Amino acid sequence: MGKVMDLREAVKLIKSGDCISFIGGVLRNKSLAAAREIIRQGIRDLHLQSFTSDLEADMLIGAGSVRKVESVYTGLMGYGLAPNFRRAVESGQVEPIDLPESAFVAKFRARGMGIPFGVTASLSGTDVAKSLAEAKEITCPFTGKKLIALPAANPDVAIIHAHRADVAGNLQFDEIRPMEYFEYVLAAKKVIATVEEIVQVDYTFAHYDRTIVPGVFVGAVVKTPWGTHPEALEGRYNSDHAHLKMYVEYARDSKRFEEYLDTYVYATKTHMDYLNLVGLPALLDLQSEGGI
Amino acid sequence: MTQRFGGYYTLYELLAVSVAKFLEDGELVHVGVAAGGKGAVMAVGVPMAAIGLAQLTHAPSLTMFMGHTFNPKIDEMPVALTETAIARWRCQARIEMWGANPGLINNPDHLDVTFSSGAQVDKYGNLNITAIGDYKKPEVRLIGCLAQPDQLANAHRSIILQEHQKRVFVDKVDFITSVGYYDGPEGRKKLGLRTDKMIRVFTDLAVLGFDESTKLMRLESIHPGVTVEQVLENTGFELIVPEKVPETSSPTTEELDLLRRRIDPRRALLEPSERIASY
Repeated sequence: MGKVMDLREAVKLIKSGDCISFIGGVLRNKSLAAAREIIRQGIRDLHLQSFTSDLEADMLIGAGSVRKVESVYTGLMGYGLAPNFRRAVESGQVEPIDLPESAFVAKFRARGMGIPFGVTASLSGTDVAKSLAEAKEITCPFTGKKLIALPAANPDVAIIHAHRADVAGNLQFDEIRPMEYFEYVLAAKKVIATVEEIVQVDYTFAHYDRTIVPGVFVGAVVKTPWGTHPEALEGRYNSDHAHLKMYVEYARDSKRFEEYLDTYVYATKTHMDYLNLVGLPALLDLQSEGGI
Repeated sequence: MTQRFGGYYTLYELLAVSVAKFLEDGELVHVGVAAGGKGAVMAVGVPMAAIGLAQLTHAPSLTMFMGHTFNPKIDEMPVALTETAIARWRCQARIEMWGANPGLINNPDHLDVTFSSGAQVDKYGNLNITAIGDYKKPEVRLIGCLAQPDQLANAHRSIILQEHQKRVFVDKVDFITSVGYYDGPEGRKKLGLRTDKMIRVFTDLAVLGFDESTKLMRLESIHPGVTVEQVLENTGFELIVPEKVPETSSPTTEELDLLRRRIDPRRALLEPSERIASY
């Protein structure tokens, strides 16, 4: 019943048509290694249900893997709107599901607490409420206040990248303690963790204060150093500014984006191939003082 | 844009001082995070400088939070607002993320002031950051919602900081991401939203409020050197213009001194940086 496996094996847990949740920040901490492997395996019709969607979503959309994007934000922050996402929504190829933070978190918190729906008080009068096929207006039984109810989140698979896992699947971050990642993990049926390094459980006993997800909730652990590249991994390495700029250039044109995918995804059979392509000097350059 | 007013003070300093006057002692204020450039100055820099100025003058017990961080040292704000940089930023409290965001942002009992901006703002203060054109087949698909609907619904006061352009200030937003006064004076009441809501809009040309009886946007003051015509030319709907339009008060030398020496000595807040950052 080993949890440690290779990336190909772990990503096989994801099926076409699944609802999947990438855990991380905007241009930080997302498992791009897993996103690239999803594309290589030709998994399609995915419903992305991530708090924020950025590079991983744009890349998967550009590769034709995505049917729905459910998020509070989809974009590339300082690099502008997400080009593939924008094109796909404007052409009707991808359906957006827009939620404010309150509603998104309510859906996940509901699942985590075993309640069938989440509630928000802040969508009254918005076109956001009208756009949500699943939204139902309910009346508070105590105050009479009108609220919007949404079914609990139900991701088939959550994908998280951590600094470290032990062989039992306990996930650790150094310095930052993003406990909300645990809440997203809790809502998913299966959890894939890509990590920078894998250690024995003895290490965890000595450094338990760094664990943010207990191993019991994690199904697959994959060693994927630099696994968020070209995004940053907080506390370890910066985002790859040159690569992100290049990505946006390619993504602005769907034909050219095929070239990007050919080079960085299809021509690399494994994550190690990808790292070799990017090259050690470029990767080491991202480990600046303080590791941010 | 930064060097108007004869180099004596910048637009961002003028805005910081104007916004500071809108903040009151004892309040809880939320500031979001944004990427680099001019947008970040309007979204983060001006709000942070205004909060710092209010704290050093009329509002010593004003509290701000960004993400899960409360009352960080404003003069030590990291250039790149990464999670790690925020984690290392000296502050008074750092709580669990969901307690603050979206927790407090949805709590009308605690939340006093939030800052927002939009791709479109309409005459009733409704905001759009989701899509231009038809939602299902948009001309321009934008970023989504963030916590903006939560902020506009629940904060007592919302400050909108925005570049003054005709394509932004529209008669009716294409998509209501967030409700301001909805469709008039009864709008929020019929939606069950808090009715004591106040909205102020600060732009590079003027300060705007909303008429008490109609809840239509009204010109409150124009910045030094700006004409009413200029404001009207850059507004896509009929703005209420009072008979006498005051000039936005220029910063005093004391206020400028506090901004430059105490609050923003590294010019990290009020000068656009090319550095790209995200949270």
